[in-house]
Amino acid sequence: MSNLRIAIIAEDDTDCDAIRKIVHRVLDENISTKKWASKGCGILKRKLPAKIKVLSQEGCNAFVILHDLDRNPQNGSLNNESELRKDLEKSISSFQGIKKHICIPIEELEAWFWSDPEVIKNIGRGKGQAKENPHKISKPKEELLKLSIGENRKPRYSTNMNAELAAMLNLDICCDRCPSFKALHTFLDSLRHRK
Amino acid sequence: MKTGELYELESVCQRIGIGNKIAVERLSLTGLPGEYIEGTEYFLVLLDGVNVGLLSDGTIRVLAILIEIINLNPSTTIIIEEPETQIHPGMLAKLLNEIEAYTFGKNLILSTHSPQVVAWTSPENINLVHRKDGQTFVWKLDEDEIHNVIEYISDEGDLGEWIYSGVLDE
Repeated sequence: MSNLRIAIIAEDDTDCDAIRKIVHRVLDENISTKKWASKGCGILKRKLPAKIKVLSQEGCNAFVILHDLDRNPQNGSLNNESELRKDLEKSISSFQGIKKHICIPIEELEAWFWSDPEVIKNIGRGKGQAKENPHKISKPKEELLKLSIGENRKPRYSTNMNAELAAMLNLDICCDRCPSFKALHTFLDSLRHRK
Repeated sequence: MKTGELYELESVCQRIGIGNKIAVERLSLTGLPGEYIEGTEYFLVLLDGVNVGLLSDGTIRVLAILIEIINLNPSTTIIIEEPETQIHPGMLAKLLNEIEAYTFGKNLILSTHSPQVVAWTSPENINLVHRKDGQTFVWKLDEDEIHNVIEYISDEGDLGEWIYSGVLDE
């Protein structure tokens, strides 16, 4: 039996659920996970060290920390990815030797779904096209919502479907098109020997 | 509610985890005691085999809001009073995701006393309401306040904490 237990730390439950699905697809359905949805980026930053400690005590020996690269709501510009990564690294620098990956999708995890033609076909009921560079899409979640609205003006997508979409996502295409996803996949691959 | 919308409601119930199957059964009332209107048909609505009237208050509240948003007309303004009442915080988060999807591009007015609901929106969408000397006052956050709260959200906490922290009292 595997002794690997992965902590999934993200800003909300739908992100945690999607990452858990990807963990299970890349590694094994039986890998144990524990999640913490911080309900916001500020809280994630502030409580990250405390949560890493608690989750370690609960047996987690690998950590995936997901943080969106948000836009500044006042001027619309993307925040600085390397600064954000540095801040997160610094906040947990006292935890030496833990297996961790800080995943920063640009600008949200939902951008990954834009990489896969089948997922886009499903959400758009045939309309819409997958993107070669999903990280260049502004507000990818909103764009998925817009795409999903049919002639009856009703949406076919809500973020509650993120785990379902993660289950159908073509991992190879997403790796090719989304650097943040590829880095996550590489990290998960590196955990195989610990299973 | 039309059949298509009933299927849609069932599908949303499945994805938020409130139930899997909605069934509607025509009631035969012949010979039963009670007052019935001649010529009216009566139906029993079941969620996973349970009469909806016997579900918990929170579940009924979630269903009522879902039915409203699923039946929205394109040009409707929807008003929801305190969606948080009687609803588990985990379920509320899922309900808010559905409200976000179904009201996208539409006018939504939502009143709340819940930090969780406040945290769900953006500072520029907040209208604060208070009553003083028999009058009701409504105001929006000014640019400086929005700037401050954005910094707070980015580094410290969420919008709900900030609004209810007392920082705006005076």
